[in-house]
Amino acid sequence: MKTLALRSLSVFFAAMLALAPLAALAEHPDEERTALEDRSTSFQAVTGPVTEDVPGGTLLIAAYLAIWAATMLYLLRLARLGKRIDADLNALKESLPAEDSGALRGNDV
Amino acid sequence: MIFFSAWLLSSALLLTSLYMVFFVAPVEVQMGIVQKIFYFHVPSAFAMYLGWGVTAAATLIYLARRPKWADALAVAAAEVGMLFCALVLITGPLWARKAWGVYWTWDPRLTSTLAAGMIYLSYLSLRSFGEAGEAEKLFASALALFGIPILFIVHYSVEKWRGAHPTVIREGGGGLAPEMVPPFLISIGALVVLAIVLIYTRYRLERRRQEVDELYARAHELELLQDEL
Repeated sequence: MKTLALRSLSVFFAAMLALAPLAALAEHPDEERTALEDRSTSFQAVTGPVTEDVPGGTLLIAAYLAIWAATMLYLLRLARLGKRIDADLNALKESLPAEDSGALRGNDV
Repeated sequence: MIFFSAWLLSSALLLTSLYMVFFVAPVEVQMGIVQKIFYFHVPSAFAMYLGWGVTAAATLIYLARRPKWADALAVAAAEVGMLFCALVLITGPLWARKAWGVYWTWDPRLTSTLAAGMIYLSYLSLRSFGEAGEAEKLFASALALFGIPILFIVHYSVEKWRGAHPTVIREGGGGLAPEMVPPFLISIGALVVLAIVLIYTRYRLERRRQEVDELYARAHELELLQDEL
């Protein structure tokens, strides 16, 4: 079951990897455009709410909040991972005979 | 002690860079205040290269000699590289919304960065299966190696295929105003040191996790965990 899931996931990721660069081909290179295609040929009225002119300050704050939030979340993940590993390690060392758990203590970094 | 000092240095550099970016660096004449995203966007990309570069080197060592430390280092660095890739892919579109009017465009650099992120996300997904066997490790290593050329494509895509991505600090670019250089250098230092400290912290955890795996295997041999299974 685990192998099937692993293979399915691998195929899924391989397909995504293969398809990702194709998206770049969807855009025509600049040199193929004529000067006429580069300029506006008509003006159309906005159909939805006007969403232009996002203030730069808002974007800047959003970017810095994202940086700090991502870093803090990663540090939290490391702390939780460390606690889980310590708990597993202590439980295993207690359940194993002293010579078995002691022999592996040399692996500590 | 060294570990604690490294964290202290990293925190001090981050605080200094924040001060420099917001109080010393001037506002850019055309883009305005949103240009200050640059001071963390570009250093995040450097930290991403560092993380995945270390992954590539550690993977090569692991494939050649199979030391467990190299495997642990590859996983740790890939994870930290992924964190910084996420930061690049979050901060970039926020800047682009102001500069280009859209959050995303299929520019060669943006596309290749996204592809690289997907490759290393695949690598981390494969490695996230508990107690990865040798087959999973080898397949994941191949993915990590596949990521090496993509990193070069990310780096040189701006020169080769142009696109809309700025080329300010590259050859042919206009460069930075002199007042912008110190905040930029401090930011690079801050995020690179943070990346190194994070990689080392995650590496230590991965080594301990390897020890847990060994103890589990030993407990299975002695049939001590029979009741739990």
